[in-house]
Amino acid sequence: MSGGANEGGGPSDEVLKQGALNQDAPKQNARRGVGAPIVECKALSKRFRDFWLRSRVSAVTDLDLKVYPGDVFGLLGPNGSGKSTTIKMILGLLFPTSGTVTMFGQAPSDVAAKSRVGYLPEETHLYPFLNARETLDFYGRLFGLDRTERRQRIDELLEMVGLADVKRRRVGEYSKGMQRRLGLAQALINDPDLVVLDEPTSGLDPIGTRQVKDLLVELSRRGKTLLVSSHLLADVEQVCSRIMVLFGGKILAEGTVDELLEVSREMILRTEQLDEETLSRVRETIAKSGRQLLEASTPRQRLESRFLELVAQAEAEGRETSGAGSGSQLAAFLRGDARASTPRAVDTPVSTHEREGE
Amino acid sequence: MGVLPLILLPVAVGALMWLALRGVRAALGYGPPLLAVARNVVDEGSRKRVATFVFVSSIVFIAVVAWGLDPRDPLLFRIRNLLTYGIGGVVTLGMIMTMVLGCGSVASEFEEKQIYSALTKPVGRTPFLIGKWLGVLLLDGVLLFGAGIHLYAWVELQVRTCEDESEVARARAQVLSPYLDIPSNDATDPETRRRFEEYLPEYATRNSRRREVLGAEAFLDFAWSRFLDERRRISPDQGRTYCFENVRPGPAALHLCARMYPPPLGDQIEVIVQIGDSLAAVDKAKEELELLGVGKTTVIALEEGSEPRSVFVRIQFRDKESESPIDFTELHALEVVQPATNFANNLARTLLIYLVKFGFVAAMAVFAASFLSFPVATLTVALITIVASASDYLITSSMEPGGTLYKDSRGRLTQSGHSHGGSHSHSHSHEQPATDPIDAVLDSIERFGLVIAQALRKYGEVTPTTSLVDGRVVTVAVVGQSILWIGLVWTGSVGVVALVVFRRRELARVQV
Repeated sequence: MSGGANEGGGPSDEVLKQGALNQDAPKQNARRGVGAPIVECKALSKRFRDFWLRSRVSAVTDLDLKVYPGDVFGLLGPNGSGKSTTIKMILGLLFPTSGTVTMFGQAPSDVAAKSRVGYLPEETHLYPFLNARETLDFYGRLFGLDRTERRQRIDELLEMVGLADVKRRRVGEYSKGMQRRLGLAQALINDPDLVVLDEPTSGLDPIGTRQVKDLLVELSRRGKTLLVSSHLLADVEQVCSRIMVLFGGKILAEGTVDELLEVSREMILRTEQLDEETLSRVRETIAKSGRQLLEASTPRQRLESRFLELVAQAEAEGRETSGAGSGSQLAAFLRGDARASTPRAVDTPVSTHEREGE
Repeated sequence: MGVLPLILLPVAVGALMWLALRGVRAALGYGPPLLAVARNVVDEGSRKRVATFVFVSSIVFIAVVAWGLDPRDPLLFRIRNLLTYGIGGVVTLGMIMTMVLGCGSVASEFEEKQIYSALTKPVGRTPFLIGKWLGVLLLDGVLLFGAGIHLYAWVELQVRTCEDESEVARARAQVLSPYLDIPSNDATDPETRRRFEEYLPEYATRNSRRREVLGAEAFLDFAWSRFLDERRRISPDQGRTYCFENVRPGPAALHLCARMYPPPLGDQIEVIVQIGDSLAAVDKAKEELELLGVGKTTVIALEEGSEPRSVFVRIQFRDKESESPIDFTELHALEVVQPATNFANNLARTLLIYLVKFGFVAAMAVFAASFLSFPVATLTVALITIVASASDYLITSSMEPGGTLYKDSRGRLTQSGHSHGGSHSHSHSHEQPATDPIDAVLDSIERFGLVIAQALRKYGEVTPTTSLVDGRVVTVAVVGQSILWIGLVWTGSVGVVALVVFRRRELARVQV
């Protein structure tokens, strides 16, 4: 039997799957077919040519994709499967060889459509000569946000991603993870309706990874549409409502997470610790019904949980660090008025559901 | 001059430039995304130390030039050296900064992929590229602003610390009070026209082949210009009258800077000035004229309140036994000049023209880097800028006998082997296509260089430093022409092509 007690008090994958993320958030929000698609690709293909214009690689072939409002859509696939190429075509960074892409019903280059999108690239490419505040100010200006609004959002976002204490340092001096956090902040500065995240947890420490996943859930709750590309299957499984698996630029599988992952022949039971005698009786009972107990084991605490505990403890003791903090509340402008009292982002959905699980 | 100004002045100028930079940043802190992009370039320039290095270098360079001036030299020479080397150095540094920043700010967007984030925001590619260009141009503006103040301050300091009043007066007359030159208009002089009528038949006979190629009208123009060239050389047994039209009331001077060997004594030639119908309203009268000679300046005064009028100047040899002719074929060898503006204004106009030139280079840099890598883009822009700067010299050289350029019947510059209408009489070494492969390649390179040089001739023609140092007014017309041609036509054309190319370009790379 897998799953079980959360001995360290931290979250577990089972909790994440069964509690918070599976029940409340995106998977319940699988609104396929509701309203007009926000992103639509029809027979999308991309062939790259070499210097002599000879066709060399087919990165994407005849891809049909629709992302509806409220979807948390995961693009999965091994390296070189065409995930990033697809995203770049959706965002207008690459032009399709054939087929069409629309975003909010417009061409990707449409400025009005772009004003509703937040994008976190696969690698965080920021201006190393700017500090965190200036970086966000720059991107905020590209969105046409006024000065007051920019200041407010920048403060909230920096607090949210745990960079408030290092906001005056040049971005070039940031670690990769800190740059990733700032990249995430820039993707959210316009409170986007569609958030496109290419490998969002790449380069992040467990705290950042956890925070990003929680953030995605929270954004989904607010009705945002998310398009997430990743090859980290666990990440996608935890946060996405629908997924598409690509291989060699073609669709290998597509559907909701439940549709694709449900194993109808098996079941998981979680109980408190059982002695050997009780376990034997359970085994017998199951055998009487013509079934077989496949696994019974005592779970260990997950390393992620233990790690988060240690960091939380160090922060509680006030130990100094020059790096990023754990982050704080979800930015107010992203929460909306109704959720103004949301606790720490790291704790938000998971701890709530941990309590529910307990 | 003490050490104190050598320290204080650069520090003060540095502080002013820093303030100007802050001002630019503050001004770019508001407004549309285009200005945000421009501000980003300003930040990039200053924080990547490129602009900072150039700013500091320009300050140090001018200070070193000023410090290195020999106080025993006449004040006029010192000021001219300061301006020549100072502006030359600053412009060179500015060009380098423009190329490096213009290419770097765009190329790094692709190489470091920041453009992925920037252009997925609601900013069009056009404002993005214009913002890049504007940012570079504003940094150039700060550089020229600082350089202008620095140069002006050193010139003032040189003048104020000079104890020789006559030197100061000379410097003020010849550099610090820029004058407007009025070239002679020989076409309006009846005597000159009559002599041309006499000259033409013989010249046409000697040049029948050229007449056939150019056509009657163009040949007439050609013959007239040759006649004037020849006529500007005055033989010992001759005299000439030159007409200067529309000389305004007020002080004016006659510049007589001719080539003559051996140099004549002052009393060997006679200069007669006639204003309207009356002779010699010449200030300082005969004594000055006696000392005038060649290479000197005299002052003529037109009565205040009168209408602009014509001034006739007659150059006459007194000594018919003199061996050498006076040669007025050089530009500005004989002219009437009038003070027209002040030095600060002239310096500002000079620097404005360089700013316009920087704008053109910046546009090329931004364009080149939008599809080339940083080193290739920088080298390409550097090459074009060098050819453009030398364009006037290249074209003039190529029009010499044996060169590859000539003017066709419509007066257009044409390359040999590409003549409109077949053969022509212009003799040169490359008339036939080269058969040797190496020669053919060299020919092609030469032709390509000349095409660029012709296209960018105005860039090389406009040399405001020469006018500034000579004490000539950098006229509003010259500034306007620079803005029109270099600023609007060329920079605009490069910009339009850049935008067309950039809008069609994929921003991401193949990563499969």
